[in-house]
Amino acid sequence: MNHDSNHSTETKSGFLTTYLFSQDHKMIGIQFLFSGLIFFGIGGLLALLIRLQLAWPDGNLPYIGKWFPQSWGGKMSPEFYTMLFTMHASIMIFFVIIPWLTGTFGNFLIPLMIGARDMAFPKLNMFSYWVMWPAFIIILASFFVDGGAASSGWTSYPTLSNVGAEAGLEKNPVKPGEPASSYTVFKDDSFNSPSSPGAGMGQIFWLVSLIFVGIGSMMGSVNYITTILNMRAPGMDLMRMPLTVWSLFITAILQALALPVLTVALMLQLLDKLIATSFFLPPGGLSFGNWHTTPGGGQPLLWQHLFWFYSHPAVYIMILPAMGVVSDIIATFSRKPMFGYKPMVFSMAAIASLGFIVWGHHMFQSGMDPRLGTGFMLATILIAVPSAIKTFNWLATLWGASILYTTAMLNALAFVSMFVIGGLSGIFMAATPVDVYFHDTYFIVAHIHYVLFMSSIFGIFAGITFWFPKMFGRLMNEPLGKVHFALTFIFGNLTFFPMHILGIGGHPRRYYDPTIYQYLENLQPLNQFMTISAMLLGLTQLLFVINIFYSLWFGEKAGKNPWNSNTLEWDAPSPPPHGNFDQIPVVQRGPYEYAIDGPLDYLTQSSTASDGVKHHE
Amino acid sequence: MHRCWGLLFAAVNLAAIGLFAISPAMGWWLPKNIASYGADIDHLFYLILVATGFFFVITQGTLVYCMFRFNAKDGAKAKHIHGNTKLEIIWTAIPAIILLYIGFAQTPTWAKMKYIEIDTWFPIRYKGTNIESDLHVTVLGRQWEWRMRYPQGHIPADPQAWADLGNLHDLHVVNELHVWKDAKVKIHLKTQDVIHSFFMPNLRLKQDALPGKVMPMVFSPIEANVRYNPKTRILEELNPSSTWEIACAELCGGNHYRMRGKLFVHESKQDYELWFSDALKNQRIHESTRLAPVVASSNGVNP
Repeated sequence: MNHDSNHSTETKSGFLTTYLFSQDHKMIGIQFLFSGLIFFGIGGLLALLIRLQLAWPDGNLPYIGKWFPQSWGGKMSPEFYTMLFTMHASIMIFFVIIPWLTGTFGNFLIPLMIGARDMAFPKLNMFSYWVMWPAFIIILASFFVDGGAASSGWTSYPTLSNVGAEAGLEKNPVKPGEPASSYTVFKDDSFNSPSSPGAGMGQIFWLVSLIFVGIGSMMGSVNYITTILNMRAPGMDLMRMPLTVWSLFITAILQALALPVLTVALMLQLLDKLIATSFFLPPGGLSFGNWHTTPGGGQPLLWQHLFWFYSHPAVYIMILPAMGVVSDIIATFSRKPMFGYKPMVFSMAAIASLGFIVWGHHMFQSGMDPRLGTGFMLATILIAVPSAIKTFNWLATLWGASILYTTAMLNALAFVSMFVIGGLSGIFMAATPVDVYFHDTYFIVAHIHYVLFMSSIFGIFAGITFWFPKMFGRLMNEPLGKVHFALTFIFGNLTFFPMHILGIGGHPRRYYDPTIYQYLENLQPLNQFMTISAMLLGLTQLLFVINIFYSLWFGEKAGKNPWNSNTLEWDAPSPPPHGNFDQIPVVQRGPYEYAIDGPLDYLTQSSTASDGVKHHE
Repeated sequence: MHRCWGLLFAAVNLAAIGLFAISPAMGWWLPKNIASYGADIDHLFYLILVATGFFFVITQGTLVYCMFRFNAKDGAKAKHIHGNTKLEIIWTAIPAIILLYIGFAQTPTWAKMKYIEIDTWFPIRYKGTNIESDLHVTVLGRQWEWRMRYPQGHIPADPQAWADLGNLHDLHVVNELHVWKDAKVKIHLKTQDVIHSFFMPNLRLKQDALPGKVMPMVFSPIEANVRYNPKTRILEELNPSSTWEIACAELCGGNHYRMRGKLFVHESKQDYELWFSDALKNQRIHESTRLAPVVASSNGVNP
């Protein structure tokens, strides 16, 4: 962990070791930023295709129609549609939001904010990014394999996903006069699945890709935990850490505990597919038309337990870092100390620990014992309490503040506003009898997009805008940023808010053509309205990309501390050199000493000036 | 300019409230309820809607107020406050109490839906199940249809065994669930391939069909939508707008959206029996031209 010697040898490195195989935590964070941006574009385009189909389900799409194969009749096939939403969700979750939150913010910010020269294990850190590349390549290649990409939903429930064709029995055609049918062993080496085209090779690619993502995230979280526990600058007590670091710390613990479960579950499903084990195949076997599997010995429900045991904590992995980032930004631009620092830390810890015992609320309708549902319901209801505490503390920070409307602040305020909507809609689903109706309808789709898009992505936009000057030494363009924010806020709400109404109307999710149902007929205008809003929302994101690339070269040069913020990263030059600090800072106080009487209204964590403020906690 | 941001936030939140306000009038709302416990669910939905609506207005209102009021460009001075324990306790306790109330308020409805007996004083303690039914139906999901199987005499001697294996004289119908008004219906839900979810929006009911298992579903419709005319052998709708549909709510492959079924609630048991006997006669005529009855086997290789 003696980084100084390491430091001197690495400064002589060339292009490859600086930009590609870098062990510098800042470069790794930036690598995650740009690969996330590429996948954000891909995932967004997939979403727009989904919306197109929903708005005009009878096909005949202008211009786009002719891209589809002749055999589909000039429109999307239902199988293609299932592939779209599967890949949209998988890409957005595993290749955009988690890499941006933990990869970009975790890597870039943790050493800078705790006053360390780098991560505890720089090589491991490099690997954590570079195992993402097989994942990137495999997930993109999966679009082009036989049968197309995975199409069993991002939840990938067996037995839609896990049945392979290499082991099974085929019923011989019944001949007249023969009472019983006979069977022959079915042989097929192509990995096709009888359940759906995408459940063959595409599913295998999906599984392998996510196993790589899982390994990469494991490496990252081990690194974050070790770094935060061992490498804090002198004086940086745990209770003086900025909330961003706390959130990343808690997220890393969540990841370290939950991810192995998912990785194992993925491997079990991969074995089911490749060598016809039957972890998720029921004892009686299955029949798809004339085709029968061999009797299994497992349980399809086991997958759901394993999957949600990871994926519910994963929901918090996808929101906690954004909460931390937003807290720091709100305090900075309110010019006011964070209200209730300790309750904020404890409520994040409470969300994380309760997060481990609520996974069953995804399974109220799954066939789980209804009595078990009550326990999961109570835990789920309780998790709303720490979420409420956080919201009230953000509002209390704003109360009596002196708000500066920078782009970062606006995005952070939008996070608070949208998180309220996403949080409140969750209470409907926590109530088991109401969830019976809302489960797997658009109400859920609305909820997840308010939490993941409208909250996490606004948090990410806020964070990128806020730390861009530290990453690249230049500020992002403010007017462009504000236009991008306002349009995203408007079109985002126009796209996702009507989904609540669709859900109340009983519109099931993952439907290729809802119009064949009489009870959904008059919801169709809403679907079309949302699609138009979604396209405008997609176009708006181009402004963000333009802003990033414009500001990289032409942005206003930023000094060390453009936002007059308190935390340690603003002591380092912008961008910080390898090794970050000229001299490791000594921390004097907590991170939120704003609204100070004096020549400056803030006192940085390392400032040795006496603060002249009476502290009342 | 700086005042516009508060306006933007206010406008978006007001639009959200506005959409909820106009939706019932536009017909974008809960479908008609026909379940005996459905009123309880809807009541619970409105209870949560009021509670969340209250917190929505409070929190968004405070946010928008702060955005207008505490503005650096208007010369607002920030106060150096780190927190307030009393406030923290208050805003932890109030949501906790409301949430726990919602938590306990729902357990009787959950028990009613699942036909579980619960302790009156501590409603999350279960005492046992009490399922007694007037009509048993087996529903088998497959890619991509629902196969319904009705027993003669409505109640089989051994429901579990009947659900597993069936009986030679059962009536088989595809995508049509026939019951009668006020009947206590028990559905034995199965699947032969992937997970499906039997969703009847009007009954506020949904249950996943799990491969290898028989899932129970219990309900009792309080309203009828059809009458059987034995002369014309046609099901007559009582009301042109009362088509009640069945959907699949769990992704089950490309044609997931096409697992559309219909729910027919007959006026009376007699009316159901008229339909049943005609349908069974009809099935026998067709069967005589076949070699073996179509018995959908529940699971796997079991010829």
